Amino acid sequence: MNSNKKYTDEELIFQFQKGNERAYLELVNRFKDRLLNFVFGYVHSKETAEDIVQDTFLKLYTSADMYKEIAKFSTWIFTIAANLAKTELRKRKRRKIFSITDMGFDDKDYEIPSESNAPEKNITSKHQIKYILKAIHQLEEPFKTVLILRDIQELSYEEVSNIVDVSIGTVKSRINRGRLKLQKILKNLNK
Amino acid sequence: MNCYSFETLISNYLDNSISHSMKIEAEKHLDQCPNCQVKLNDMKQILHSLHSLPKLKTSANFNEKLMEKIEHHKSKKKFIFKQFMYKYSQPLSTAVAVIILLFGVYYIYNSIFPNMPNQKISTSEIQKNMLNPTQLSQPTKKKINNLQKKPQYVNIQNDDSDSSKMNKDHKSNFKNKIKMVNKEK
Repeated sequence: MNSNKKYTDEELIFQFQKGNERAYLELVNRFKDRLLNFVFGYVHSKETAEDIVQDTFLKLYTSADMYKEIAKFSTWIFTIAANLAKTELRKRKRRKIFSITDMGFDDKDYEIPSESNAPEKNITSKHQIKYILKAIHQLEEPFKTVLILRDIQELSYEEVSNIVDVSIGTVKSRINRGRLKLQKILKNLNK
Repeated sequence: MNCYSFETLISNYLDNSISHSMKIEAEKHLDQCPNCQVKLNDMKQILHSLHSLPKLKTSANFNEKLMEKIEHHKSKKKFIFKQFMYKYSQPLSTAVAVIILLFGVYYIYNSIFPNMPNQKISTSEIQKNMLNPTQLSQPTKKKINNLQKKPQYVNIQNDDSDSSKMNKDHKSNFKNKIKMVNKEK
């Protein structure tokens, strides 16, 4: 599959549209981790995030013909994943109407994954992560998406711009406003 | 620079993506404004926390699970099609047979009785059709032929100009007949 490295994402999806299943697998390998982290920013559960990413790739498999070259492949696949994540959140909201756990800060809602880049993290920092995840969850949609992509996934402004399909200037402005909003939300949560 | 303008470029300042002159202005403001210093430090801390959030990796059997889902989807699709055909194949084939039969009867009826008895054709329609004779239907063609042979006896809805012409012909014929009777007398 290393030979596929020279192909762009768009070339791979066109090959898959012609019936090349190896091109599909290469796209899966390229995007699965990025999509997982992106979706986790919405649903805060690794298991659910992985299910949503699988559904995203299933949709890619069944509806590959829907992709036209007007948008970047990354924009398209991230949009599918975001839509599926939002649907999952809506389902959860409906379920929560009948749930007593909705009354306060629910730890179950913000599952901290065991895989971590910083093994020295202690309980306090885990608690901090929970607060940050809750704060991100409260952000409005456009700010949430760019913050996840830029500050959690650490993508470049250009990559974020390609994924959300807006200019770099707009991305920068959204990131600035998103960070300020996040700051406010965290202050309120800590009160 | 005031606090509001510092706030609008705080991210660019942290990402080091502002011009040198703006950076100097921002730093000047920071030296004088303890509130913005706190804001900047808070922001740095938040960014550090965001960057240190755990980076997830998909489970080892992710691709296998995905392939299973795809296979399941394929078999489900086939099953739905099979179930549909099993349930509706009989009424569908009956409906198709009835439609074919109806078309057949209509075609045979038209070929046996090409001239429909109550079909009325106006002269304007005939004139219009005469301009493009290839588009004429069989009964219309026959009526046009009849009209060309004996135009005065065809039972058609005439335009005003045609009827006045026919009235004149009829009057002159009638006058001639009266003259002939008078002569005989």
